[in-house]
Amino acid sequence: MNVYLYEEKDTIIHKLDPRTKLLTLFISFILFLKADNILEVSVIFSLLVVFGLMSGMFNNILKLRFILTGIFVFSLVSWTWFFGFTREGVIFGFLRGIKLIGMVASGIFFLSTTSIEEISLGLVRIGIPYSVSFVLSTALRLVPTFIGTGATVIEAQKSRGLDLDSGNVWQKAKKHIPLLVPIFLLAIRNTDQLAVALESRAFGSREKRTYYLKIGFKNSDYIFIFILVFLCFFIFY
Amino acid sequence: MITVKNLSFSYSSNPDKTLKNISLEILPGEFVVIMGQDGAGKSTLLKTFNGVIPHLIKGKFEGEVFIDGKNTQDSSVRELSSLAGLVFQDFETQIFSTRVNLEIAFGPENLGLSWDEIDSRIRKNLEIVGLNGFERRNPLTLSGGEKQRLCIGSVLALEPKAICLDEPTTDLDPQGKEEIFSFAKKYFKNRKLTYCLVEHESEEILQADKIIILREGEIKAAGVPGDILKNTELLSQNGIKQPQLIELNNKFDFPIKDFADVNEVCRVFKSRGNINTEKYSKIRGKDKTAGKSGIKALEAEDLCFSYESGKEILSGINLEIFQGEFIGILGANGSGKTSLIKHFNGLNRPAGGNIKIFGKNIQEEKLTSLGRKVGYVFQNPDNQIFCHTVEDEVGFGPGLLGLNKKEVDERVEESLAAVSLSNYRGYDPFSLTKGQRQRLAVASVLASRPEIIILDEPTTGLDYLEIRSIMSLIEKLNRSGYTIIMVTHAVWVAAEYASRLIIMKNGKIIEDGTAREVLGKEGKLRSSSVKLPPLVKLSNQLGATLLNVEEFTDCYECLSI
Repeated sequence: MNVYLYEEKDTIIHKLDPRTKLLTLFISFILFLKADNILEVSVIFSLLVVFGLMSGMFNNILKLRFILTGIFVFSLVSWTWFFGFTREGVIFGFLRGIKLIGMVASGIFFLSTTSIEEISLGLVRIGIPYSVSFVLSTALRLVPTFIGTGATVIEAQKSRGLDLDSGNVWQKAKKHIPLLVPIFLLAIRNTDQLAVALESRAFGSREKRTYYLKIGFKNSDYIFIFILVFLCFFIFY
Repeated sequence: MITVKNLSFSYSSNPDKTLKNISLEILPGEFVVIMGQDGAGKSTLLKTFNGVIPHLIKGKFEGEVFIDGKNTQDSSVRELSSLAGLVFQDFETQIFSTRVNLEIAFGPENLGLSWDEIDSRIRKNLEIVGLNGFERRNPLTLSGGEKQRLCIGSVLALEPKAICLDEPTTDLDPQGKEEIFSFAKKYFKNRKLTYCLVEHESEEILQADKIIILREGEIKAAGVPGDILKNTELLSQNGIKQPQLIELNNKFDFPIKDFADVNEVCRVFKSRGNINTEKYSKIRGKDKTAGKSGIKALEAEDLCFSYESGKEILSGINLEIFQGEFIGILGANGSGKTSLIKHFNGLNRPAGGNIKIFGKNIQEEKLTSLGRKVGYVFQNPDNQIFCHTVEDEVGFGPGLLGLNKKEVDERVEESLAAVSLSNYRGYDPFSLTKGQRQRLAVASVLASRPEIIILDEPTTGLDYLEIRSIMSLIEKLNRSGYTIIMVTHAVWVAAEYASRLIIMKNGKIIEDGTAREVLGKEGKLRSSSVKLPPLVKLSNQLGATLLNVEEFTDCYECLSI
């Protein structure tokens, strides 16, 4: 089972420098946070859709549609409930929901088009120490391991008669707590072994580390950033 | 190359010495195997070779370790990493990259080598471990054997003078094991690389230059394999499995030079005697009576299964399992073994066909009620243990059945007694050894009083004594009436304990019969990557299929000269 979002593809977006994509992610967050009427939100949202189509990774959105729908519904319901069930309240909740899944979708596109090593190297190039970026990328890399263990643990507990699917939300959540024990233990054991394995591979032996991966700004990056800045300007004023 | 002088070490978490006054010398280009039970200090010793101990893992360190003349205490692990490379059992925690070539590059990158140098090392080492063409693959998509070869390649990329492998094949299937051993044999010998190996599997180490046996942190014996592996008493004291052919020949004492060569052994046995057909048919006669009670415990009719991705995992499986049988399921990774057994307790739902348990269609039952009839012991006990005490762990299942405290208590008592863990009731499960945790996992399944017990690779990662202990427990359960279905890679375990074997390949059952029938069809088995134990191979060549040393000595008659 492939639980990584990243997939190697030959698209303009994939070939962009990771820093360009980090900037895009950052700007899309700001735009979504800033936008506060239907027009603005729909303009930014359509731009995101165009971006997604260009990256050829729309299938990842479809893969995660349940989570995205969940986030949307949760946001819609809770904001509407907060503001009272009026027309304004519903619209506000709706917008908040769209904005939220817009941000999550930007993140999905980012992770779908940038490999973990590229992210790590991109962070190093914008001045973040390698050790910090390595920790971040390792955390990302271990997600599938934890998901895999989680799935096995769930199967093991179901086989012993634990009924995870019945009951209300609260009861269900409570039943899931035992699942965390083996996952935490795995995480702790992993970090111990990881440290030993890292040192054995000369991790941190020199001040200056070589990077085999090559990244750099190309013309397409400059054009992309130019368009991005232009759009920002357009939307804000 | 590696010199150890009066080395003692104790972990800061445990005042007892894990290593006690060890002295040894490993010469350049030597192939040394370190053996011993779990907890004997093998891995600890290996970790002192590249300075992980005492630099990274703290504790009380006495004595000295020199690698290539350098005292490990005076140099950092990073410096030492270019002298002694260490590869660990668990390949998942040693892979840091999402692309094969970047993984090889990781060490050289840390050393700050030039881009061109790194590039050439990637090429060179992928070639060495036979992974060229895999450069851009995600290691996650590799098979176990490929992953472990990648780990070896990325350690070799640091160009160490010695390489130490800590149980590199424990987590692999037979094919992966074979890949690693044949690669290591070919490559390390030619390169004159010093090669240390910690290993349980004794059949594979006959080519070593030297074997060192550790027990409770002390060196109990050291010598050439020919002498060490012949010494039955020494091996059994130290919980090491004696290679079957050596164990056998100890009874006859024929002059055999190379026990790794079954053909040579066979020539000798053929010239010195033959199988007594009368005694052999007597042994065969016993096979048929085992296990068939006539009550069908499990039936699969035209079972088909595929995951969401659409690839067919199981196709057209027809199977009848009778109450009281002991079934071993063998086959390569990906042949569908685990997918099949997950149908028996409802974890997988068939895409086509039917499964019946005691005549009742499984579709009509919920997973939770199936759990009372079919117990499932997962491969890794650590994935199913989640309570703070042994007692709570075993009581978890019965508690869910709605039993009162006294009844739960009774079942806990009974199940722990069955796996000989009665004295550990109040213990934290994670303070137990791996073998004990595996037995605990069995106990927690027993507590629900199922009729069928399914075990997914119960012996993986255990040492020889632990294997014997868990298998005799399973055998005992089988005799007391439980139907046992066991998936395993250890063919010798299946041959000795299971009464019926099922061989799977590409989602189909290709052989099904008594252990003797199935293992006798050597030609057919070759395509399924099930590797016959040397003893069975030898007996097949002599015209009979014999499953253990006792049977062999029983049937074989020396020619009187």
